[in-house]
Amino acid sequence: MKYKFEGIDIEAITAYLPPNIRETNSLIPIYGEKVIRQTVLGTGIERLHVASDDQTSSDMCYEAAEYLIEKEQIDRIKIDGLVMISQTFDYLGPASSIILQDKLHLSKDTVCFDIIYGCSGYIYGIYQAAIMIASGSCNYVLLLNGETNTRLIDNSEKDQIMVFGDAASATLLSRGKGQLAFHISSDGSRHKSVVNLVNGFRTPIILRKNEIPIKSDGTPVVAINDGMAVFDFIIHEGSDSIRTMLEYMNWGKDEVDFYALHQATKVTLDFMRKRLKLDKKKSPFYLHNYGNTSSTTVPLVITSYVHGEEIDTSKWHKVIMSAYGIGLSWGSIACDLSNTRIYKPINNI
Amino acid sequence: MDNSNKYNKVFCEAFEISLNQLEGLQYQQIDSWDSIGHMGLITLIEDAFDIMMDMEDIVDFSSYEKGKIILNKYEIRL
Repeated sequence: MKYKFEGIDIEAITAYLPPNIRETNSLIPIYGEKVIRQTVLGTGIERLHVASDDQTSSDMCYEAAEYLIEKEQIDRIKIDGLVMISQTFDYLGPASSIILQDKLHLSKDTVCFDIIYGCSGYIYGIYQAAIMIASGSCNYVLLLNGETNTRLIDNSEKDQIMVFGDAASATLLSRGKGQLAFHISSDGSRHKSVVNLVNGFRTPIILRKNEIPIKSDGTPVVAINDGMAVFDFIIHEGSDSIRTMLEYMNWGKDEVDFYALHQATKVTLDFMRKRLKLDKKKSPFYLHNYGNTSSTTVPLVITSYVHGEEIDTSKWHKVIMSAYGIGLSWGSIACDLSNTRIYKPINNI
Repeated sequence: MDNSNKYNKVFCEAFEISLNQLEGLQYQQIDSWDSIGHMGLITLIEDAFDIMMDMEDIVDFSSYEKGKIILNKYEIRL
């Protein structure tokens, strides 16, 4: 699907990082120095932020949202749409977005949606917000992305425990003058490449405990992540989506001011940049302090890079965001962020 | 350095192993050759031989020996 929405602005973006930090080197006693050294070389991830035991994705989204509302000085009554994207909602029901409507003191007329997406979730979230505004039913939509990935991973999953971190983001969209162009794709035939097995109703852990696959250490497999299949997917579909978007916008790849690309690992991003021949300065790997935080990587790379490198974004007229993940699902956005307020992530070290 | 030595050196450096461990070495046989280690290996091979491999070949690169056959497609004789 390709589509251009007119009259929608991305007003402001921020991110939240839980204050607890886990240094990758702290895992040396478990995996050994050599494995840690080689993994950091490939992932580029030196540390992760980890949510505290009593902190959920919606708690982190709340922090990001409050910060954005305060910074923007927006009257809460004006926010009439709330979208939360996550794979780790508070409950199977009710929707976390509805709980957040109350917690954030938003109007009861607010339209709230929870949408389950992983790494591609920022693209889908912006799309959902754009639909709500373009329909004429909403004027200000708050998009919240949040993930407590670390809850799904234990020490037996070496590939993942050093890669996936926790974070949240808040993005405010409004009726305005901007254009948002989308390219979005889905392929359910490859859904088994990345699966969160438990807490759904295909294999509910309480009712059908015996059907949950067991690892060699006797613990249940809660998630499957086929690294090679995912790598293949990201490089193929991710690169194609960016090419498609460039063609759709009639932009040369060097005309683009900034590429905010999903950051699975450094080596994955390196492969994509090499194949697309992208300027590294315009498509940075910038999650060495956070890791892969699923649907928050795109807003996190924007906010952390802008403040970490003191970038002037007033010339970011041509920006491409692109992300790819569970589903499998993927997509890209072309937009203008030159007037977007970009706030430093909370608890950024 | 000839291509065979270059190929062996890349493997030894990528996985911090010795030459006598290379024969028969397969993907996921050792801790360091996981999916992330694999991408690191491919990066080093592409840099060492100045090539850009097709994704199908990267995914198919499942052992030390299979890698030699794949590199042959890129006119790298080992």
